[in-house]
Amino acid sequence: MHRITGYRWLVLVLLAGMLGAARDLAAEIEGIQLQVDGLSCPFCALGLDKRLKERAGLEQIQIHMKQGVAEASLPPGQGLDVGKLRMAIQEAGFTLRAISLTVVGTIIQDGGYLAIESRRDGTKFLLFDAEHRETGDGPVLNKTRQDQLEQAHRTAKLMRIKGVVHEHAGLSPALMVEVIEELSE
Amino acid sequence: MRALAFLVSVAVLLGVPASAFGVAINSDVGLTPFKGQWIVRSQLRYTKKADDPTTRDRQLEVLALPQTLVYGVTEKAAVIVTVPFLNKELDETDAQGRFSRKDAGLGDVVLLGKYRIYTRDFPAATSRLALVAGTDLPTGQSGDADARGKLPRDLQLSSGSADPIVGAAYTWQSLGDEWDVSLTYQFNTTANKFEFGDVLTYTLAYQRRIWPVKLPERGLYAQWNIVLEANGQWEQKAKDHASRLDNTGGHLLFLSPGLQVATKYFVIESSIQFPVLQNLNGNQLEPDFVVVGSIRVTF
Repeated sequence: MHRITGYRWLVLVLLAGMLGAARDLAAEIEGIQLQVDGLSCPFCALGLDKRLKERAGLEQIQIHMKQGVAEASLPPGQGLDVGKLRMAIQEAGFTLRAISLTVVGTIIQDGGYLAIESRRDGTKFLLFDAEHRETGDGPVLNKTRQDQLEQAHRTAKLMRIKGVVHEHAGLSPALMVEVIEELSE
Repeated sequence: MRALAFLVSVAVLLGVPASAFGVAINSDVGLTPFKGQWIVRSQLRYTKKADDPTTRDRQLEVLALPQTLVYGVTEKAAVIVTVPFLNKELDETDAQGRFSRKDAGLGDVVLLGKYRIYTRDFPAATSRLALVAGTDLPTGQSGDADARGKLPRDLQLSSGSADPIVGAAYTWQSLGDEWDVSLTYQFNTTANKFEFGDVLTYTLAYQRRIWPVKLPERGLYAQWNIVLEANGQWEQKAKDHASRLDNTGGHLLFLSPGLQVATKYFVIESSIQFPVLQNLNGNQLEPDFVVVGSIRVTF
């Protein structure tokens, strides 16, 4: 019987660490939270669960009746299709009010606007602030966040951004930013 | 007497397609299943009718086991099939003494389509209106006989005719309570020169969550509800060879308290219907009560 000697332990630990890091990177959209209107009886909740799985391909779905919220995650490697999400909730017989996401990725420039892009599947979300949503000039950020994200763009830092999804005609989907976190690589 | 069978079938109708989706027990609701959803509802309805004003002292007992299957074609449109199994027993007295007559078997299958025409969703609440249309089909026997000859119409398992049904139902539902209002009209047609009178049914239902008293912040939960319904039915007089029959038709109103447990996958419920208004034409048996038990499973 072979014994695992000192340097082999080191290799195993390093491999495990690399696998862990790779898994973090793969989880580009870490959490999806759906605010669903019309969800008002436990017997009606099964439809939401099933349609989110079958139509939108989500997994680990948890429904919180009191909040009218469904939490879910994407399978590794699957990008988010907002249209399919809307369709799934419609087919379940409910109305989608808001989608909140936590996205991990790098900051890019897209058509003159800052966006976060998933490294794995290229899904991107334009970034804007709640207080700057009504300008009509497209997605914009306050100066502090603008500076922080431009810095992240220049240095290609990995960022985690939580926000609410907005869709605009002719533009990529956008995130109304709530929380920005810089990740150490 | 002839109206009895029809009142029984109406009672079955009231509870069969009525609440296969939502959570009222004996009332139709404005809710529809999600796309691709199946709901199976199995009911037991025991009806006892007595108070015969004639010397025949008739007493009718009906055990109905309606089995309902619902499928969501889209999130707004559903098809509903109800197959009732019936067991009827009529006791009465004649010059020779007390005797019983019985019949049992498949009743009239009911086919319905439902379409939700109005939806307004709110956080943890919804307001919906649906239309219903369909027919019952004469799948049961309407010419059964025993040693005494052909059974009276109220003991037969079928009206013998295909009878169109139209209706509408509205629901307001929140996490705490629910209101349902529904209206259904059945156009009874002629079979063997006999026509049961048309029937209008109307319901108002209220349901209140009693447990959990305080909702958990996260997750799903099993919910206990108390239900109170007013189930009314007005029936036109029947026609035999185009002549109206005096001892048929009338107006009945039931008050129906009930209890229900609703979960993500099933609903179990029970209700008792007490008549609070019995304005029946001529000499007819009056319902004493209706006991309802039901389980609905979805997948």
